[in-house]
Amino acid sequence: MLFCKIHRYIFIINMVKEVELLKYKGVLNFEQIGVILDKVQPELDNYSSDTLVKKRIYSVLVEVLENVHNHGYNNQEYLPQCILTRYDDNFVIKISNVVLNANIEKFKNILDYVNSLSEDEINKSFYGKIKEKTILEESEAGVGIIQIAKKASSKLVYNFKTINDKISYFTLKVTI
Amino acid sequence: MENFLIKRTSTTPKVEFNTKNNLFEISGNSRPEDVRVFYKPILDKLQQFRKAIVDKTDDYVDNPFVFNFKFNYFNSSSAKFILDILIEINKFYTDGINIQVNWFFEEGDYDMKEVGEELTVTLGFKPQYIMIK
Repeated sequence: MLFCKIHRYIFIINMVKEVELLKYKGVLNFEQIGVILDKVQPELDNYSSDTLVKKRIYSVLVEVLENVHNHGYNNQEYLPQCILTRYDDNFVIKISNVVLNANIEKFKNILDYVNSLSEDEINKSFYGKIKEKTILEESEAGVGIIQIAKKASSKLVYNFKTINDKISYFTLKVTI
Repeated sequence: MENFLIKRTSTTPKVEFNTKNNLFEISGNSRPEDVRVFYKPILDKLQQFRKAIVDKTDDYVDNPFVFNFKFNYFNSSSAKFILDILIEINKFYTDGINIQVNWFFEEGDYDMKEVGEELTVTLGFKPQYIMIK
């Protein structure tokens, strides 16, 4: 008895749908952050019907933009840049700005600490910081990063690219 | 005591403090440029009002003072001050003033509900969670 097997090869091509919802390069001050957020809100409504996802993207955008505004270093040659991209069901926020080399160690410590935490630990850390009696400026930056990690669906990805002895270009990638 | 109203802006919430109608309501978005400057007067008003009515708890037995939190969004810097407001409200509760605290959240925004639960977990009163459809 002869069995003939017919193999069908099915090629599945994964077409990743990539849509850029926001691209901004320029000075980031309090007013400009408001302009960016006003522009992004209708885009989010167009590309997602999930309230929780939209609110998380908005929240991460606010925190990353405010972090740059509050803790970044102004340099006219290397301006801050923020990109929000949708890859299928994921949204990725990529923000870049100049930082002082003297602050890199401090930023790395906060980011590595947050990345070392589990989801539960991130929650505990966030509410622990909020409930501290006094929040110092340095601690506020930490709360913002923990808030970003709380809303992200994976670990924070970051990079420091040296520009010269004084400054570097910092990039943070957040997936939601 | 005089009523208190702060109009809503794109970065700060509307704050309505109506002492005649027994209502404190905060609603909208919160990411003020200077979070301390925005929230300090609100905290001061609440504290002044509590001290003014602490001997009149009987007035609120049948008519509780209602605190409504209707945030659409608040940033991490605001969270600390919202907690301070909740701690001040808890003093109303521990002083024996009849209060009702309502924490509103948009349907699907379970993060907003969670933050209400977490910020009040160590306080004496428990808010009522109301979903807005």
